[in-house]
Amino acid sequence: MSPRGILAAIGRPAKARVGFVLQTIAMAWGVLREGAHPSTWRRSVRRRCRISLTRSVAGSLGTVVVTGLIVGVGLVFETIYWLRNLGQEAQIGRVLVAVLIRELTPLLIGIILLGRGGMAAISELGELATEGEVAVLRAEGIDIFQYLVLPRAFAFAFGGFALGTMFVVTALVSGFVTGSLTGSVHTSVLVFLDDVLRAATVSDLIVFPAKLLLIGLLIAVVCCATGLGADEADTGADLLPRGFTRGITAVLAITLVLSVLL
Amino acid sequence: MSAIPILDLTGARAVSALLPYAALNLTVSDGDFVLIEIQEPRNGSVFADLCAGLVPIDAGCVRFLGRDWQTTPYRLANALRGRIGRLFQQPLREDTPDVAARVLLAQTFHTRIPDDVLRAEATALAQRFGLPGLPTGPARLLSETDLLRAACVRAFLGEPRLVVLEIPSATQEDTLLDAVLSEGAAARSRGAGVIWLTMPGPVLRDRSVMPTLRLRLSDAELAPIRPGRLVDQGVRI
Repeated sequence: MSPRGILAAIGRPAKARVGFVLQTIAMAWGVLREGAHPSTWRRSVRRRCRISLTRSVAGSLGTVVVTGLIVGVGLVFETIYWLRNLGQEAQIGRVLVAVLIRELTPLLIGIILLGRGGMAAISELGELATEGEVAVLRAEGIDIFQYLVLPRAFAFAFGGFALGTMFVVTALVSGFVTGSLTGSVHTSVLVFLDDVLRAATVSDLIVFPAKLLLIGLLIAVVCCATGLGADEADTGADLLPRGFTRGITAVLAITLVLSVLL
Repeated sequence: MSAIPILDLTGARAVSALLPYAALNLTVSDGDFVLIEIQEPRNGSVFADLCAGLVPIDAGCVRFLGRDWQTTPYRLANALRGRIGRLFQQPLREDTPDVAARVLLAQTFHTRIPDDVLRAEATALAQRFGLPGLPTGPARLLSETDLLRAACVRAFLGEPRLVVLEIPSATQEDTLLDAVLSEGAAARSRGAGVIWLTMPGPVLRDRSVMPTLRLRLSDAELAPIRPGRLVDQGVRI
């Protein structure tokens, strides 16, 4: 292979990856910019957003509750049990905020959202793109970004926040109930929740919604870009793993960046 | 009625292998009915895209309602495309979850006409196209013909200024033909223009189809079909 060929072989995938990252950033910026204009929210866009929100929240709710119960028993209860045995009960709230609320919840919600809503979005948009429906919408003068991307981005962002809140509540309550049943906790649930909330700092209260909103937004944008970028040769077997890898990378990246920054 | 043509192709040379390299010229004014014979369905789709400003051109211009697609801002261009009713080759996808919502989509996106008014208009149109009403529910429950009827409703809904019909293989026996001609005539009487893209076939011989202009889109050019010229299995038009 000639030096030029080697260079091209290295550059082509690198260029494609960098291009996708830039496209994702541009789309995320576009969502924030266009979403701020009231004129963007035509009734068809609002309807699409409502459908996406219902699907993303309702579709993931069961998984979130079950995962919350498991995490409640496995993490919250264990934290309560061991810190109490070590005489560090005062640290329970702080540990739960740092581990459960700041780090674990955004990560798990991101993965669940990606696996349920994100994969469905890739599949749906991939079909629209490969079957020519996107071209038909364009010919009807329908803005693809406004109609297909923007509502999903908002639905995933706010859906992610809602699911994250439900997850935290489920995990804390199930951990508390397990602790009560095993005799590790002797307070009321409200006092326990109050202790956890009091342990949260201003930074924690910013990080939690910021991570969930950004993760939801990025998952939607990555999945929409992957789905809409499908060509006729692409099948679900090509698109879904591609979208999943990109989505996971986005979730981990945003979690890491926000954890470092805030 | 206005002096500005609805659609005006002036020396337009498209960047597409599916369109003639020669410059294309066509003017569609209020009430015009242009019947264009195409070689392949794909040629018709790309020509319709050219009329809607979706195919780049490297010479000439394509104007819709006096505006050059190439210089029209993106949002305005989209709004203008909302004034074009199109019957696409692929009427409605079988995976469409809600036919009614899909039929009304362009109108709900581009206009603020209340939903119930839109639905009433679409229902009346659907009945004229032979449906009992505006189909609701998923497209997979409808027959192919009913999906085509629903797509016709979409094309004529909202009093478009230009109607582009891609019916490459419509047959004379098809009951839909009468409804399409009738709605086309009604649209023309309101001042719209109609472009019908079709393959050589019965439509070109049908005496009830009376276009104001007959053209042929060949590999080389877009040219008028001369009266008396033999077309399609030796039948004169």
